[in-house]
Amino acid sequence: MKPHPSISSMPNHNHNHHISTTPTHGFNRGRHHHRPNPRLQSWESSSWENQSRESPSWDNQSQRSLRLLSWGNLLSLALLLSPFLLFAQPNTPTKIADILATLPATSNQAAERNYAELLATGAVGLGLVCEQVAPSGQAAGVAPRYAVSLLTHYAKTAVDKALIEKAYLQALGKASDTEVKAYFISNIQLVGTTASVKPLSAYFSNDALYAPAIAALVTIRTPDVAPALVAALKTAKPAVQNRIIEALGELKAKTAIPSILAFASSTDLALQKQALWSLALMGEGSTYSLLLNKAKAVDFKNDPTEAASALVEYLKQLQRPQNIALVSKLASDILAVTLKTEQQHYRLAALKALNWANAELAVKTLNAELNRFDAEYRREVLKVAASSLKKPTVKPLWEAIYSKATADTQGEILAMLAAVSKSDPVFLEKRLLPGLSSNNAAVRTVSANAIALTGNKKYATNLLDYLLKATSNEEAKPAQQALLQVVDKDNCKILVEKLGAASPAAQLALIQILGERRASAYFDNIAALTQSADTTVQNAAYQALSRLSTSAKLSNLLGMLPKTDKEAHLKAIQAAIVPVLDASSVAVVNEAYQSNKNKVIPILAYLEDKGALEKVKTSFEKGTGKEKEAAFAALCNWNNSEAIQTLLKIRQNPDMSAYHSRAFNGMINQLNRSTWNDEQKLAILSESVLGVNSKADQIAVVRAIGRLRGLAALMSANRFIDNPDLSATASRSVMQIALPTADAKPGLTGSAVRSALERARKVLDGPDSQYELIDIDTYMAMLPPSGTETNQAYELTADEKKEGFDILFNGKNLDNWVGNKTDYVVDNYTLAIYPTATQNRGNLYTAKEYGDFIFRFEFQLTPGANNGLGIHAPLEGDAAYVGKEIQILDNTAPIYAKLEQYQYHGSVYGVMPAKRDFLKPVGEWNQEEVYVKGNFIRVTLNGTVIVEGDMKEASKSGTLDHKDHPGLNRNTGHIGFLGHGSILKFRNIRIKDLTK
Amino acid sequence: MSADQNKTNYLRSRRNFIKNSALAIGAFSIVPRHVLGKGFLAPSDTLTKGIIGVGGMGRGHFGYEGTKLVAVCDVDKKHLKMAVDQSNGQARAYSDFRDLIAQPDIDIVHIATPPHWHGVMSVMAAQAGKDVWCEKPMTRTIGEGKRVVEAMEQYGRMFRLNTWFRFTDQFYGLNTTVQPLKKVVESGVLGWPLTVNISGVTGFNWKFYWVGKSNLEPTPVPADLDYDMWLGPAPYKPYNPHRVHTTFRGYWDYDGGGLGDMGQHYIDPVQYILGKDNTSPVKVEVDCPQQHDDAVGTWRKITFTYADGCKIILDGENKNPDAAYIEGPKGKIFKGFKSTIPNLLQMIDSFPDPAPQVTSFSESVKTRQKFALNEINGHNSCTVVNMGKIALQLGRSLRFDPLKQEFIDDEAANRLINQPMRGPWKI
Repeated sequence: MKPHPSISSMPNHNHNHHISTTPTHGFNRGRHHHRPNPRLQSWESSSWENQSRESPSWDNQSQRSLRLLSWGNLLSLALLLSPFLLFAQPNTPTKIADILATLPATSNQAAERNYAELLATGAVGLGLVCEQVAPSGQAAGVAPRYAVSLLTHYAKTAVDKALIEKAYLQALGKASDTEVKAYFISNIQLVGTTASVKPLSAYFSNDALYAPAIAALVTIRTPDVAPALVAALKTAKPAVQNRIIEALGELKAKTAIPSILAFASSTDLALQKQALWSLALMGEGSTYSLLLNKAKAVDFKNDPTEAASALVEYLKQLQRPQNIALVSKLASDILAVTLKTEQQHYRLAALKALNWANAELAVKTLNAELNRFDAEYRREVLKVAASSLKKPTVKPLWEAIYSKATADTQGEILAMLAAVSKSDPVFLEKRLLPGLSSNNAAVRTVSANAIALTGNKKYATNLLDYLLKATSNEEAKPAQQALLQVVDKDNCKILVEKLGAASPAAQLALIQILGERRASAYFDNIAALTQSADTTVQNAAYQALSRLSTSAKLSNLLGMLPKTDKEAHLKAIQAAIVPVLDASSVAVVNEAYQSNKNKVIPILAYLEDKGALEKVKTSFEKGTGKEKEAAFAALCNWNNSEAIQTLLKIRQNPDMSAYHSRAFNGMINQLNRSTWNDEQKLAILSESVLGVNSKADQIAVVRAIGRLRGLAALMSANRFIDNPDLSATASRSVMQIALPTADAKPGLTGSAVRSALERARKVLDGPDSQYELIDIDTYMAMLPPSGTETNQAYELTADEKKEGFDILFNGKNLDNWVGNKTDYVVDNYTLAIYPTATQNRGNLYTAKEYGDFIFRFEFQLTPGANNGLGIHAPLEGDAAYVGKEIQILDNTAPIYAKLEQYQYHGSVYGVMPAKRDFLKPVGEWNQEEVYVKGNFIRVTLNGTVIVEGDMKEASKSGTLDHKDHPGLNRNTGHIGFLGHGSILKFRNIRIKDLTK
Repeated sequence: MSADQNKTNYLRSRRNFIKNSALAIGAFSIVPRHVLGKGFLAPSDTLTKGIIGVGGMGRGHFGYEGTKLVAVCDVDKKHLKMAVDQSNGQARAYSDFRDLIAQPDIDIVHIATPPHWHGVMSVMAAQAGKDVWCEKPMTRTIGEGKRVVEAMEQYGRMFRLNTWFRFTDQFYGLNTTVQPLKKVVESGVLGWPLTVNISGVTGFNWKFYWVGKSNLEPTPVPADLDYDMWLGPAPYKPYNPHRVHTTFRGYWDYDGGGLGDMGQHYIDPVQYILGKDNTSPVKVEVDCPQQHDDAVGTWRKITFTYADGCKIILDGENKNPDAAYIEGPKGKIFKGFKSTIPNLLQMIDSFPDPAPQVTSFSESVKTRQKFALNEINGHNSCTVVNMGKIALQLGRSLRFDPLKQEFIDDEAANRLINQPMRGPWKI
């Protein structure tokens, strides 16, 4: 038994603390220590529950009875003595231990309560909590850290904070571990006040802790922090000096400037750099010359002291109202000495400052700068200008510049002005609307964009005029984009009015806009343009049809089919028809089918007509050329799951290899979309994967399996993980199937799932794989360890023992078995078959041979699972023939719908048929007994005899499958499980040898 | 780990710092390399990139459009080797990112490290004249985010946050990109205010697997890993493999669990859809078990409320199996874009388009136009995530002032806005 974690670290305290024996509490001696404070009672009782629940190592039984006893005593005592109890001192260590046992708090309210309780224990209690904080990695230290976290985060009043701060400072002093010390410093940082300044300053000379201590002081920020830092500056080591100077800069501690100046020319360049930067952050006039001269001295180049960077920062920090003149002067000083191309960064910084100091005056300078270097520089200058444009005095100055600007800059200046004039109707009328007909193309485009941004429909006419006058496709595009922002379904009309007379480029744009807006009222106008002489317009008109069609236009669309033979046009018409089909369309579509079979067949894939599939199948089977091709394409596109079986048959027909790949893709797509249940889907997928050779097809199957849920799907995907072509897809599928979904569908559990995930995580690849790895790892960490399922090692019942049964499979190993121990594995006390490869590794047989026997076992099927029980079998050969096979099969699966009766579960394969319908639902365990004596066999499934009789007798006039069964003449051999392809599980396998 | 070993680690950190400071790093520029004229341009006009952090995430950045990979950097030699191999030896390898960002032939620095580095590296890359393509979440704290916004403005840089849902990618369970959602909301057919529910029911996954372990035992640092540099600005904690490489997500020092790591993927598009790109919620309410100081735990529900009454509900328990993804007084949209409004997708085709966005970062870098998801709206959506993290850590509901970017009347929360960095790192 492990000790209670919250107590073990309190050496002076009696471990049986729930019954106080400490002599200091007179009233409570020999009684439970708790004050019966009604306010606290509710959480105290919940804390008891938590404690007993969360501390399994605690001797629950005895403690619980003690508690019950003491609660009873406590309550009666409370009634008698309540006035006295007001004076009773709580037993603080016990109280703390109780609180710690409830942490982490399970809710925000509980956390508040816990905080209040902790605080109520006062300085002694907080001291105890802090003492218990242990170095990371020690379990006992976890709860105290949660407690400290509550204290730090919930502290509100100055009085409470002071109490907490004091406890932390004491703990900091007492702690010996560096990490623990750093931990308290980081908490002091959050609650610390001036009381912490001196104690933290003591760590400036501690190599490991000066950095956290200084960081905490910077956050605490009381007026005495800077003097404390300055006092340590002179004598500290260089690294500490550096950090102190940095901190003083962050604090903008102006009183520290003289001390920092001492480092501004230090030969230690790192120190010099830090000193210049901190001085820059202070933004004080007194350091103007120093910082400017330092930057000049390095000619505004990058150097280890980064003096030029510091100057730019200084210029920025100076920007406070009282420094306007100073900023202007420094900016001008910088502009005077930064004329080289590579110094333009500094010019821009200076321009920004100048603009800040006096935006009106800066306009002239900025305008002059526009052409100093290149277009890129000009744009950056205009960005500086833009930052002041909201000032009413500045904007007119730039409007004046705009009017006279060169063609190059005019568009850019207008864009800048427009950006700050978004809701200014005057600007829009005076500048932007005229701008649409400017000679300058850049001005036209900028105007159109800016007008569009208003989203105001009333400008649609202006933008439409702009589009109609567009001189090139390059200009029609932005015009079209602008129109899209102001045109909705209602004002489409004005576009249609101009459609006829527009240039082809404008027509193209208009057609696309009407399509985007689904302006179905103008279907006829667009349909007319499918006859345009301009092929671009013609194509665009066809493409737009699908967005404009309505069921009222079905006849028109069907009528367009005979008029064109172009594939793209036909596709566009068909695409326009498909979305408008409904029950009322059947007659008219079928009528069109009569006269235009090939062109209508693609539509049948979407028609709600029972006869459609037969028509298309017939066209595929009997038709030739285009008809056959159209029919096949329709099958591949079929809109529900009815064509899946047809496609599967095509895929499996070796004479139709030319169609295999497309049939396969169509089938997979339809399967993914279908509403079939996962078992049905898996059965089809498992069947379709047989004989699939192309890598792409295999990937498609494995990916489709990944969309299913359940163990069977998982194991199906799992078998492809070792295939190098499929491992990436298979591992992702395994992961998808096994893990819980985001909307909380639970994940799969069990050791098979664990091992599949372990394999998957090794081969996962791709950009998201690192996220997936976290998901898998965390899920696996949460998986219950193997053996927590209800399965357990089987023990014979008393009756079976008496009768002389032996256990063949003990749930732990395969000692009594020989053969395929690769696919057959022990999984959580079951004998499971998880096929790991497509190759046949054979069967699993009993090591011994048996003649007459009673064989009892349980089995659990997965959908479509197929196995068999071999008896009287040799180790080689097909046991169904060279021995006898008693079928084990999920004959409820859809793929086994057409089985012969002698293939049902329980039948002696090919020899004696079994009764159907006595299997339990897939996933449940079935009990079966096989009784064999000579040629007599009786199979009992879940209490019902499903086969009974003489095997030789049954086959004397020929076997049911008309095959030779030499095994009928054998009367002894191995018993085995036959099969390697499907997942299923066996357990509790025992045998009574009747020959003994 | 003993106190002495700890001390050694701290000392090592200082020595590295001093050594590295002696190298001339921290180049400073305001306009990018290719702006400086012909001599600087690659003949093909192809932009170049260097990637910092080439674990699984960073190697995923190799293929991002329009750029040529020239350099990779990692603190784990194994990752670095894998990355160089994956580039067929084309990428130069660096183990100190400061060396990578000082390279003159790199236009764009991709930051694919754990989040505790994002802020520092973004600012340093900007100072060095690089445009930045940064993995989500943008920054680990609100304060670092503010600083990144400032730095991009100060140094004239382009910034792109690496989530794709604002523009191209299918938005989780919604079966569309976010554009149709944006149109629906702008059209007003759902009414106002709106409530967005982000949960398993609506097609999202809060990744509660990504939690930390509360009591990690110190273990030796593997020889291939520069753990001190891996930690960087994060507080020193003894090494345990669970802290680093993929599982770092479970620790507050580096990230913030599923909320911290995936939150911006889920929430950023919501800020966009609701038109909240320039603001933040004013309130966050949490329902959660107490969080550990070091290891991120799970939570039950987090609710953000904006000033106008719009809400984002993060439902960790799928409490409401009928929850709509987005719901207003006049209509709802569910997972798979199913809606109470018939033919909604077709209806919204008839509405005008929202304003276009710059969705190619190469275009943004070349034209200096802000990318659709830049440091400003990225910071605001990351602030939603970071507000949630702070409320979880404190275990209480908080009120927030979006203008000041501070919590109201909660000093403890405000002390978590800026979290100090381990020297020599600063932002």
